[in-house]
Amino acid sequence: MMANMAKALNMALREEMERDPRVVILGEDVGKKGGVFLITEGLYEKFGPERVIDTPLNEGGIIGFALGMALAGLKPVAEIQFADFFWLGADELINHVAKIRYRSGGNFKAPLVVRMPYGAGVKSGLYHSQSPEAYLVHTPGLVVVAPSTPYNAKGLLKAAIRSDDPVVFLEPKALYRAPREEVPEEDYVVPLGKARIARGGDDVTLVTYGAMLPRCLEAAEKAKASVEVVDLQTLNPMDYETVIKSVSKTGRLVVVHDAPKTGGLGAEVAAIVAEKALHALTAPVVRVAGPDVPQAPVAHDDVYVPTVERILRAIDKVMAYS
Amino acid sequence: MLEIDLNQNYKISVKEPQVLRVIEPDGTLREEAELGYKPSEGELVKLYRYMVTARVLDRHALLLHRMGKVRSTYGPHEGHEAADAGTVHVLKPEDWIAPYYRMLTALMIRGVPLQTIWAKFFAKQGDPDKGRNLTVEWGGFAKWRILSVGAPIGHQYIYAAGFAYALRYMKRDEIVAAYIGDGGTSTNGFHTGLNFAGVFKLPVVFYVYNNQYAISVPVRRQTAVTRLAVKAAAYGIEGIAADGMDLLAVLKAAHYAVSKARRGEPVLVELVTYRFGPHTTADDPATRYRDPAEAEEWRRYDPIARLEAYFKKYGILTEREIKLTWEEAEAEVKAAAKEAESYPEIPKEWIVEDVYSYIPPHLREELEEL
Ligand SMILES: Cc1ncc(C[n+]2csc(CCOP(=O)(O)OP(=O)(O)O)c2C)c(N)n1
Ligand SMILES: [Mg+2]
Repeated sequence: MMANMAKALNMALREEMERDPRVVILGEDVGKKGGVFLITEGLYEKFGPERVIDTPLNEGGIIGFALGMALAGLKPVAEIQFADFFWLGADELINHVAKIRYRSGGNFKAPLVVRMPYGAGVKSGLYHSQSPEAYLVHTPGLVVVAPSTPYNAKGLLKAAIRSDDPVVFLEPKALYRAPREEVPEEDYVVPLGKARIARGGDDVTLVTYGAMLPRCLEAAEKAKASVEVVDLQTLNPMDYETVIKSVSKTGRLVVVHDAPKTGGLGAEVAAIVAEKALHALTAPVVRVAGPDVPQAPVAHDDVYVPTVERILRAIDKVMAYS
Repeated sequence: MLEIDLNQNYKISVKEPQVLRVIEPDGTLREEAELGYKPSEGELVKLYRYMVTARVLDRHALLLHRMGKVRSTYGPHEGHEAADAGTVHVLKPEDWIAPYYRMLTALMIRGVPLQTIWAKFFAKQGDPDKGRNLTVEWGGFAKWRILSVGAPIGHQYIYAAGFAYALRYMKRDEIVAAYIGDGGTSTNGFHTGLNFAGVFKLPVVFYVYNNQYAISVPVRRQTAVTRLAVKAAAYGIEGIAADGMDLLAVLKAAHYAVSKARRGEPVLVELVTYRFGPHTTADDPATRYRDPAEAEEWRRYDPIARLEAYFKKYGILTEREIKLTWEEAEAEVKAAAKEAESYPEIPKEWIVEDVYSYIPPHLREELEEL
């Protein structure tokens, strides 16, 4: 069926709950309201309050409670209303969920999913816009995923729910209602830990993920050069082989994300390429990212988020080398 | 609709509960002590033996730490033996413990062998945690239905609630006993765990070991209430307090709380006790923040000495049997230490295991560089 990302995520949740009675949903307003972005719409009515659980307003509680459920053998899918608020559950997520398999010598595991809408671009200020992926990928034990289309959103979320490891699922809220595409109603997964080539090309490798994918595709379309777009899909553990393979072919790398530039994921991708394929580069690596200011001031939301314009300029910059 | 009755009193006041006590410091039984449960003499003697062994182990661990054999900081639990023994004894084998770190007697009663505990203290093979944690972080004792605790204080109260929710969801007739210290009552975890358990009516008993200190900070600096059990009122659940160094009082309070929890009524139980030792091997209370005379004062409530006085007074154990118990414990603890010392070291390759359910390619590469 034709579906936008919000609908595709909803389909994934519904199908997984039908498939496996251990799957439960918890979070703020996920019940009758269906979540503030309506991702859990209709699930409360279908699966009831025992499985679609409105919790007290406490992110540490939501993540810690989900941890307990996962330890007992359930497959909780926790919703943090906005990624900006995961900090209130950071101890639970980073100190406990991520480390429990390790600190227990493999005697406990916490295969749960923490979903959170992230990213700027909808004029929602400093506390409803953050992209915290760099903090998250710095935590061994967490799998960090960011879908970019309705199709991979459904397949990745299903894979995340079936994963034996804890997954933080970063949903680009700016794309929730972006144009619909064909999303199969049957069961499929998009495997974790694998990047995909969103568009083939020979001159420049554009590495991106999540919210920035449509802009990268648009820039690739408009560029004079032949641009290959790599959609990471899983941010950690990252499929660096696909990145290296592409850069080995093109010799030019541009990384695009809307999180602040310093210490961002772009730095990691650049470092991996420098370590493993420096000889393949014919041009310096260019990062197109949010500026290093709190993400993102309302009046400057559109200035903050990397534009097609900026991505095109970066492509021109690396194309100046040959 | 908000009905307002002008004749009512608008102020809240909470009456603090009495601290339940059954055995007087001199061993005499208080006849009037309520709350029902009466253990047999055999049960008490069995628990007593565990308490003695745990205390011997505790002191021996301090010694071996000084000798450099116990690899990381050790936090002795002397003073907590009765609290552990009573609260674990009233559980069924299928029930779960969400521990905090100072709970040696509890682990032993759950059946963790002495060799396993030593292997952990020595960070050698045989440690379920694979040598990854401090001595007092019980990470991977799943086999004994002891949930995982790491150093950051408070989290166990929350996941205990989530775990209990899952048990009920799966229609399993098990409960969770969760533990925290008096300092821990100031954390987000304490509040959140109790709040969630109250809202969802979960089968959890929440214990607070009020041993008067959080490292150097006395309990009056954690809170303006004097009985921590009153905090239960804010979560719509019941709070009770007992003398945590009186095995019979702990058993009664714990039995009452566990029975309620099985009916889906969580309870907060404050066990008043004392931390006789230093906070850890890296702490020296006597020279910095605590008058040794104070510890001496509290000695008169010592959980083991009190039980011995009671046993002798009522003819349950003789002086000789008591002496023998200590000698046997000493021999057992030392033999186990000796055995565990011979266990192999943790191999280097284990460093990259258990981060994920599989070893990702980048970790394999990183291992090669080590
Ligand atoms: C979140 C957190 N903050 C600080 C510490 C350092 N710390 C370890 S134990 C402790 C005191 C805990 O006291 P209490 O809860 O009363 O337990 P007790 O040690 O007395 O058994 C502190 C501050 C910690 N482990 N976790
Ligand atoms: Mg204390």
